[in-house]
Amino acid sequence: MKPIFYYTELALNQVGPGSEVIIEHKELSRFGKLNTSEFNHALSKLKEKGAQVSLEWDILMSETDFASKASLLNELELDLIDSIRVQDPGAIEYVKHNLDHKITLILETGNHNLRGIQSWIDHVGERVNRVVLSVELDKKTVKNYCENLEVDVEFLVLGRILIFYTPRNLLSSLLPEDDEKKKRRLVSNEFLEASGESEESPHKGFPLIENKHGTFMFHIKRLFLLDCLSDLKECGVRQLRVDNRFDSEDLLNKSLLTMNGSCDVASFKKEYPYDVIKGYFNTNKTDVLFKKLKNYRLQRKDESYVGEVLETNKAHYMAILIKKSSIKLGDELKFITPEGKELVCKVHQLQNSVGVDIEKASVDELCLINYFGSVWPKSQVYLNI
Amino acid sequence: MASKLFKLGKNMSVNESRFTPELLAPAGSLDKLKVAISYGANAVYLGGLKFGLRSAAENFTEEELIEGVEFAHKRGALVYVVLNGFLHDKDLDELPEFVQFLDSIKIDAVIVSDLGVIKTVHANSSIPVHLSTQASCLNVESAKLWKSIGVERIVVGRETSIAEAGKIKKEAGIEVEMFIHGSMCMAYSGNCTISNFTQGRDSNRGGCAHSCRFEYSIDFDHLDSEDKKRAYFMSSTDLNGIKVLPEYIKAEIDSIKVEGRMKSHLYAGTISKTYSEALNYYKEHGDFISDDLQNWENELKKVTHRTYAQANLVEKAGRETIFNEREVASSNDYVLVGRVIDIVDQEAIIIEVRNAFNLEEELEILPFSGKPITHHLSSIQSLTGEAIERTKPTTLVKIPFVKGLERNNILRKRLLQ
Repeated sequence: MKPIFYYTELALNQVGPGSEVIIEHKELSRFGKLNTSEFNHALSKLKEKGAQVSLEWDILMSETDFASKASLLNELELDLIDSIRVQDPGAIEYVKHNLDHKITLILETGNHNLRGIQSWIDHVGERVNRVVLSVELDKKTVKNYCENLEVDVEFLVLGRILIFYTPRNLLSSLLPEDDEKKKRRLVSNEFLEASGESEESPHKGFPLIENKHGTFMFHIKRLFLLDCLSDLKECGVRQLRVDNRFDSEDLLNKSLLTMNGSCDVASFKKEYPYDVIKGYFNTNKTDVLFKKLKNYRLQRKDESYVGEVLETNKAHYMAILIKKSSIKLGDELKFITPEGKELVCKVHQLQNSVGVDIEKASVDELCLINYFGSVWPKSQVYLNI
Repeated sequence: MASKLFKLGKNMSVNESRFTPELLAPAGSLDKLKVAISYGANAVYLGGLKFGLRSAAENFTEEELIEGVEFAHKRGALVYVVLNGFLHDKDLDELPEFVQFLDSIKIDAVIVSDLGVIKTVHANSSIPVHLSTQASCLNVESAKLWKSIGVERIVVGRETSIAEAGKIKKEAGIEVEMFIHGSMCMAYSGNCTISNFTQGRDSNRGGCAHSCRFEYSIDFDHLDSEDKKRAYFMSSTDLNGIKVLPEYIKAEIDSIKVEGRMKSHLYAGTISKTYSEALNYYKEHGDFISDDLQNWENELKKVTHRTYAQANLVEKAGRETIFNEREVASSNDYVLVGRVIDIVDQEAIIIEVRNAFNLEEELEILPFSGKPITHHLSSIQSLTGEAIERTKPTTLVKIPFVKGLERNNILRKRLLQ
């Protein structure tokens, strides 16, 4: 397993021969801060130190922006780049057809099934050197993917978890026109940072960033999987990414020492300055609450379905809209109420909507039958056969 | 003066050679499907019980899907089924059987965002695949990629302008569908997992908790001071593209889409009717130079909505597209009072009451085509003939026959009269 981290001026001290470093350009990368000359300069320094360097082109692009972003690539010292990391399918397609670099597919948004991930790899072809998996996958799934994919798998093991990305300027919009922070953001293109909390959620202190690519929100806790390195090794993950973009050099140094076993993980975790979580690494059950989101008793279920009770008039009648199967005098009906009660009642009185006695009520007709206690509007009606 | 628009009847004469986009409406339930199509939608999109992004919507059982497709196809309308969740492996295990079922009942397309789902659909059916907006396809290169994978239509990301969508269609050589009306995600669709990490509900499999609609306190100085900005800073205004409908046509957008599978019958009917009538007007006249533009705009204000804006349709969404207000249950002037369940011998109409109304209140009836009918009730009766002064929700009442009304017509009333 090999660590991979981001280039920052401070992180340069941690780079040595064989290090793998991600470099960002401010026009191409969500949190990039380097302009073209700074980028090319940093790239040279990284190569001098013997690092493998990946360019991160991870922004999503409108058609209007796409051409300028793609043409910017011509200004970069691409010969010094070992691979390009892409998420926008447009960027994937562009790199595939216009450059000859290895391609790292950032599949962190969605991509929670092997079939889809394999299809991405098949589509791009042999130039895919790696896939970056979503942190929403649990370790059992990651292991399955590592065993079945023929390319390396990278996983975030330490750092912020991005939970929201929009191209809109949501923070500067809150500030008055003459605010200095707003000016620095909009005129000088600096990052505008803040934290957010909502009284409607128990979670406080979401880190927020606005920059030229939009507004980003992160989880209040950092992902910390450095105490799961043996699990990750068993899974077969080859690259462990540390997101050091918002941290000190010291923290990166200690992270790397922990990863190579030179520093005790428990001690590091204890002194780590942020609250941490393991995310979904142990298990992901984010679909179990779905069954509570609606009343499944109100759904039609089988071929004996008749229709729906629209009105109950106590001691007089129940009005049923016949939707599927006709009913006749003498039929036995089963009612499933919104609360889930199942009640059976025989039709011994049947009238049309103006109170005329009828023998049979057909599909699309409104009919009135004898009242039966505990049946309510919206109850679903079935033939009890 | 009677408007030009409302002279058009149900069998209006239109210029069939003039291009107009398909009007694609949401169908949150079988009843809403019938309402949307009856009021003029050319196509509807709906969800089965799984695999979509609206777990809380009523959605369609297989029986309802069969009935819905039959109802739509009989009236020349198309049915698209959403399978647009980012599915996990175990979800995919159950998908082939459902896809085969959809193929067997001849649905017209599926709307998909996950490559694994696309491959599963292709392996198990011949159903055309439309790429969901959830996949955030925003540029020509991206559209070319999806086309090479076998996608037949792109629902472009909500960040796309009409001009960009037109360019994507022409340069990628693929059908393009684009939202014209309804609620908006503030995030790039598919790129928000707030619900996943704060509520334990996967927003990309149908569990979105709408955390973007919450009020937040924003601390710019990190001082944990009282000097915080309180704002609904992540909440988006609603999209309303009626004024730029000519731009959609000029760009030859294949399908204009209305958001709102969770919304009411009143919404499904009003939006379908309004956009359908505007498109028909264009088809007949070749322009939108009409006094009725104001009528269409007014109609769209009669459904529940947040402040309307054009989002990214013409230029990049700015500050005006942030809906910095608390959500309220009903932010409109009108409310659905019920719908027509039955018409009895041209003597009486039976209404399923959704919201109470009084005998003296003025109701508006929305016919399937033509101007809304203002109606003063002379009587309200229960089904057993007892006179009623004020109705109650979830009851059936009889009102005197009104010429022009049909089953599934919607009745509404103005609030705070």
